[in-house]
Amino acid sequence: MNSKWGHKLTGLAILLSLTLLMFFFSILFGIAQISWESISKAIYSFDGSREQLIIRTVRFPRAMIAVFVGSSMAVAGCMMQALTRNALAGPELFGINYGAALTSVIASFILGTTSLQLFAGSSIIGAAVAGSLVFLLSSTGRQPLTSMKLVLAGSTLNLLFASLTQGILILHEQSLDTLRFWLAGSLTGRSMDLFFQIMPILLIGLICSLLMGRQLNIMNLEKEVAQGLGQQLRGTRIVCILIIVLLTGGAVALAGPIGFIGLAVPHIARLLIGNNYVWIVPYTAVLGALLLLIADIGARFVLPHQEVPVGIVTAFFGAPFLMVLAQRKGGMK
Amino acid sequence: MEAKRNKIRHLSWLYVIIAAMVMSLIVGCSNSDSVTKNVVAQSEKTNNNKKSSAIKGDTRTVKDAYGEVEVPTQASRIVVLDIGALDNLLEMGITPVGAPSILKIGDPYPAYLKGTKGIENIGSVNEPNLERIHALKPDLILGNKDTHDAIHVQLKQIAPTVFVETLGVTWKENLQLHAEAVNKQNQGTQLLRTYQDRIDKLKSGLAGKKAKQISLIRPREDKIQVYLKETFAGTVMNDAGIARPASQQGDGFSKDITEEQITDLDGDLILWFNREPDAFDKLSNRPLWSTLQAVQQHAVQPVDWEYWMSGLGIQAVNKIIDDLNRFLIH
Repeated sequence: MNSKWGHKLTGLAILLSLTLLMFFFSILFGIAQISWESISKAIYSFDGSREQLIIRTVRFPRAMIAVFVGSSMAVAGCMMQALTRNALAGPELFGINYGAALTSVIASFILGTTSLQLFAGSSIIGAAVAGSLVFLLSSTGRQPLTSMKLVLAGSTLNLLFASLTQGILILHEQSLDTLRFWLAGSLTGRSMDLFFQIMPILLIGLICSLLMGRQLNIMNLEKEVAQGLGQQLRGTRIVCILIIVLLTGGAVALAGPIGFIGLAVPHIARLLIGNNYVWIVPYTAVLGALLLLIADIGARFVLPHQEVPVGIVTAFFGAPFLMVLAQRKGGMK
Repeated sequence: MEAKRNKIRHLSWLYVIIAAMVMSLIVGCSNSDSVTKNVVAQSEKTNNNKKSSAIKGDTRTVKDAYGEVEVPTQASRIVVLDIGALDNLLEMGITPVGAPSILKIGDPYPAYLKGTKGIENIGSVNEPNLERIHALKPDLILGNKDTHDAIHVQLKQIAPTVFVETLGVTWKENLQLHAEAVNKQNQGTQLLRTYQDRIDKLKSGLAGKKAKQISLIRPREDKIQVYLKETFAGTVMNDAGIARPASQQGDGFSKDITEEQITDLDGDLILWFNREPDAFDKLSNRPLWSTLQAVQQHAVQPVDWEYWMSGLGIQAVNKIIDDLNRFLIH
C-alpha cells in the first residue's frame, strides 16, 4: 500500500515539475525574444523596460491563466465523466460552455460592447443558468438525476444554446469577428486584473473537486451498490454540478470555450493512474495545466509571426483522440 | 397511466416555456427587419403587374471586369453595391437610387458623404438584398467582382451591371470606370488630375521638413492590425511619398500582431482608427503602450475609419489628404 502511494506521489511530482518547466518555457518562448536573465530581472529588479513589461504584463498572466484554465477545464470534464458515467462527457456536453457563450453574445448584443470584462461576467451567469437548467430538466420524472437524463438534458441544451448563439451572431455582424475569436478560445490579451477576479472561483472549484474523490468513486459504482453504501447520490450529484458550473464558468470567462481539454485529459489521467478518483482528480488537474501550457506555446509557432487561438490547437490534437476513444470504448465504460 | 401522462405533460411544459423564451428572443432581435422585408415583397408584387417600364434608349458599351457591357447612354436609376461607388457617384453629382450600409442593414451612410438623403438602403455591402434592388427598378448596377462575383448573374438579369475588379488599392481605376459607366469621363479625369495636384502640393510641403514615419493601425478586441502598403489609405500615403515604419513597409493589406510585437506600432506619428468602441482604450491602457516613442511624444492621432478604411472613393481620398495636411504641414 505504502509503496503504491509512493509511486503515485512520485508520478504526480514528476508531472508537477514538468508543468513548472512548461510554465517557464511559456514565459521564455514567443514572438518577442526574451532572455533567461531578463526573467529573473523582471522578478527581482524590475526597471520598466519593454522586455520586462512583456514578461510581467503579457507572458506571466498568460501562463498563469493557462495553468488555471487548463486545470479547471480538465477537472470539470473529469467530474462530468464521473457524474454521467459516460467516457465521452466533457464541458461541451453539459450546455455550460455554450450557455456561457450565449449570455456573453446576448450581453454584447444588448450593450453594444465586446470587452473581455463583459464576457467574463456574463459567461459566469450563463454557466450558472445552463447548469441550473440541466439540473431542473433532469430532476423531473420518476428517477431524477440519472446519468442518462443528465446527458440528454445537457446535450439538448448545448445544441439549443449553440444554435441561438449562431442566430444572434448572424444578426449582429459587427462583433462577429471578435466573438468568433473568443468562441475559439484564446489566452492572449487577458490582463492580470481579470485573472485575479476569476481565480478565486476556479480555486474554490478545484479544491472542492480534490475533496470529492471518494464520493466520485462510489458514484461510479452501480446505483444500488452506491445506495447500499449509504451514499446520498442526489446530494453528491448536486455538489458535482455546482463544482462543474464554477470550474467551467470561470474557465470560459477567462479564455472562452476551449475544447477537448475537458474530454481528453481525464482519460490520460486514467491511463496513468487507474480508476481511483482520489488520484484521478489531482492527476487530471496537473495534466490539464500541463497540456494547455504546451498547446498555448504551440499556438505561437504554428504560423510564422502570427498566433492562432489556442482552442484551435487543442481541437487539432483532441479530435483524433476523440475518434480513437469512441471506437475503442463505444462511448460507455 | 394517468400519472405517467401527467409527468409527460409536466416535462413538455418546461420545453414549451423554453421554446417560447427562445422564440421571443429571436423575434425580438429580428422584427424590424422582417417587417420591412414584407413591405418590399408586397411592393414588388404590384411592380411586377405593371411590368418594367424602362425606356429602351440608346446604349453605350463599357468594358468592365467581366467583359463588354451595354449600358444606357445616361443611366438615371443607379444602384451601387459598395461605398466606393456611392462616394464617387455623389462626387460627380449623381445620387444613386439604392446603396448599401457598410456593416448592418439600415445603418446610416458614412457621415463624410453629403447628399445621401432619399437613397434606398439595399442591405449591407457583404449581403445586398436582391429583392430590394429589383424593387428599385435600376437601369444600371455598380459593384465589384471581389465581393459580388456570386450574385453577378442574378444582378445582370435585373439591370446592366458594371463591376470593377476589387476595392481599395484600385480606387483610381474604379473612379475611371464609374465615370465611364455614368458617361462622365471628363469629370472623372478632372477629379484624378485635381488629386495629383493636391498630392504634389503635399509633397512639396513635406520636402522642406524632416521626414516623419507614419504608423497606421487598427486596434481590435483580440489583436492589433497594422495597415501595410496595399491598403486604400496606404496608396494615398505612398503617392505622397510619406515614409512608413520599417515594420509597415511590406506589401499586402494588413498584418495582425499581438501585444508582444508592440514595437511594430511605433513611428514618428501613430494614426489609429477602430470600429469596436473599446479596442483602442484597451490597448492604450496597457503598460506596454507607453513604451512607444510616439506615445511618449504625444504623437498619436485618431482618424475617422469611415474614410480611412471604408470610404474607398474620391471623396474619402480627399478627406485623407486633408488629414495628412493637418497632421504634417500645419
